[in-house]
Amino acid sequence: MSRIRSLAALAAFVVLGVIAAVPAGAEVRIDITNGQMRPLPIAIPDFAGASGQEVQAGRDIARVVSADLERSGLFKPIDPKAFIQSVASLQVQPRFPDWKAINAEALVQGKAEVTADGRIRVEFRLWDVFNEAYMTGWTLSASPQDWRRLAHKVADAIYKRVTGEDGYFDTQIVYIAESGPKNDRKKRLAIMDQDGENHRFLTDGSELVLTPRFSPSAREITYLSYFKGVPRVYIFNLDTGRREALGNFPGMTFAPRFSPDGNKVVFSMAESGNTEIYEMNLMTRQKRQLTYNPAIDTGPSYAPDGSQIVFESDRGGSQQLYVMSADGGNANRISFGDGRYGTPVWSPRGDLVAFTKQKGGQFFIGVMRPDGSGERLLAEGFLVEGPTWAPNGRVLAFWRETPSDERGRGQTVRLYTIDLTGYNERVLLSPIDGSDPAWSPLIP
Amino acid sequence: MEMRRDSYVFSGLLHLALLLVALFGLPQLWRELPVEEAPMVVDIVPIGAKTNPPPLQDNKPQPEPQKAEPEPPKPEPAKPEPPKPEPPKPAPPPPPAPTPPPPPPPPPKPEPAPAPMPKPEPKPEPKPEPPKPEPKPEPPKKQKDVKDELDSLLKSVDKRKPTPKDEFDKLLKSAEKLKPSVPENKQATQTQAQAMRGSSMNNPNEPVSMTEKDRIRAHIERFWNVPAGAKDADKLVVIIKVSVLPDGTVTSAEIQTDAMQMLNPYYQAAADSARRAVRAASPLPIPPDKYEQFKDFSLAFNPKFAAGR
Repeated sequence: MSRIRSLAALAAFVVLGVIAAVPAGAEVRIDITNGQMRPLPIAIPDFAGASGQEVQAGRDIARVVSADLERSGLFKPIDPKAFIQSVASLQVQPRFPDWKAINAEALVQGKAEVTADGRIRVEFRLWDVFNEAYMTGWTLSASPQDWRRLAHKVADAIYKRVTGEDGYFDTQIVYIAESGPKNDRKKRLAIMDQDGENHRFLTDGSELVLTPRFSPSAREITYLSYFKGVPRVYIFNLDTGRREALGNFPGMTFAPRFSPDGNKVVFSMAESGNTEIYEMNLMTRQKRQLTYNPAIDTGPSYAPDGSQIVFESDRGGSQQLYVMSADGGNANRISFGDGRYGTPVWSPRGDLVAFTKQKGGQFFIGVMRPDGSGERLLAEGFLVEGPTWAPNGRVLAFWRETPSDERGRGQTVRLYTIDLTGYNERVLLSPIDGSDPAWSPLIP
Repeated sequence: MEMRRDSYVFSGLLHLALLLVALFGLPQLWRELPVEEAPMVVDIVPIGAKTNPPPLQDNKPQPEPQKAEPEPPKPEPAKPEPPKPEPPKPAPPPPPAPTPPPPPPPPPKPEPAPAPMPKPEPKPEPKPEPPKPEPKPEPPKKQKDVKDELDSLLKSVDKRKPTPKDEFDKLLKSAEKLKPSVPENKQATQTQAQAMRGSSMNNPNEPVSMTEKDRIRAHIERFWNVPAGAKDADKLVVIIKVSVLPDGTVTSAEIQTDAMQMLNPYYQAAADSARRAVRAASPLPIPPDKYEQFKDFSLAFNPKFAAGR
């Protein structure tokens, strides 16, 4: 009896094994794990308009949208000369075969109007050409001088619908505009749209300015300026144009950055030869020391949820990145590669930390996960520094200096952007050379 | 007493079984993927594959230009020749194989197709020949005799394991061979492994062959614009239910998901990109003789390789 049972058990064992070995599934299923990394072909005809002013606005808007999307590296606007369907008939109904014929996978249909009160009203729709389906759209209006923002918002909506990621086109960049010879360099705080337009200076260049950073509201900037030869942290309000010093400290203060809620500023301060990280509550103006270590601790940057801070420190012998909780406890080293790591910046989407790395006489901009894994270097150069994240956490801006020749000429300092793939590096168009960019959040 | 002895026997057998499993590779038992997931994609090969010359792209320098046309479903190689199913035929294939490397016996087993993706001529022959070599004896599993059971277990394990491996090896080998030229390798290729493989290929119930799937996969991958750099991109697997006409024209491409998931903009974007790819890839290269299997099928789009993660 038991013998039979044991045989039966064994038989079951064997049979099960064999069954498991047989590939299952009669239904045909194919896994697609590879694809193309090419930009999405998109058709962006001029936005339609009735009057001369509307036609002009429609053309300008389409041009700005097209340039924004192209710069992202994820879209390839199709040359309007290839379009078959006219702008006018497109307003009635898209003829999808006409757009399929030129391989446009997406189509933007838009209209610009001047309303009775003189504002500009923009309406757009995004179509999936191959599925002949509506994807997204809206109507917005703004005063005529803000037409660029309307265009950027159209680009943001398209970007979001196609990538799933928030856009970053309706943003500004503040940076240090540099001019003049090397030994008498004029450095002014300047601000511009993300595409280099609407450029203006915020300071006159009489003082040295450094490391500007946006507040989460995008309406304030904190930066470093020298007052009587001593660096101080200032806050500049873009709406009022006012600036104020952040307290009056005995030592030098630097590397300021806002907390994600905008209520605090974290910075470092050198006192009697030791640099530590402090935070200051902007309401109460109380400051609190976060690190206590004989080494140099600086470059703090908050995680987007405000719970942790990444910073650089040489407490381990060389300059490396550490993560600690926002109240200063539990500092853990996260960078372990060759070389020195500095200027860490936590991504707004939280998944990565950007940094500058110095190794073998070269500089690199790279990213790693907050636990230190997955380090990737995206850009390199004789000197690359100051990474700053676009608000969607998918693009970085930084600056690159090229060396001067033997006669001290030809040196350049330019702003660049690069996306996380590492393949789409662009010069960030600014009217004059500059360094130390800071990317604003999406403008409310 | 008896009881006790039985239990010893039982225990001993189980231990032995475990040991065997350990020796011969347990994982292979239920992971059928390796072959399916990542085989070298040889997109250019037409379905009928068995006889076709290898259209590797890097072969351009080679003197056989005409072979390279993958696009046309080209029925000629496989279909026309069917009459010559004699396995011993191997001789003719080595040459550039204008057409006739009359493969295996299409009539008896139309499915053998899978094997020959990148394969040159030599391949086809071997397969058919050894339809049922020794290893075949699977059926006897049910026998009462423990010995036999173990044997069959062993065998099945054996068979399972080597198959994918060998296939890869063979592929690899054949690919290598291709580069230089295509002389008479048949003899060499026709190893025991091949025989086993051929026999397993003969399984009459076998569903779609890898080659056909690969062809479709490769075709669609050319049109899929991966949502690169998305956060958690590796978790965004999108299933698209596809219906096609006999000529491969896509009549519907439905995203298989629930409303909740579509609220996730990343998922929505990934799903859209997948659906666009299917539409753009229409008509799909489905095997004409297996329309029943392919008139409705699913595609699983997985952007796990996307950069940025």
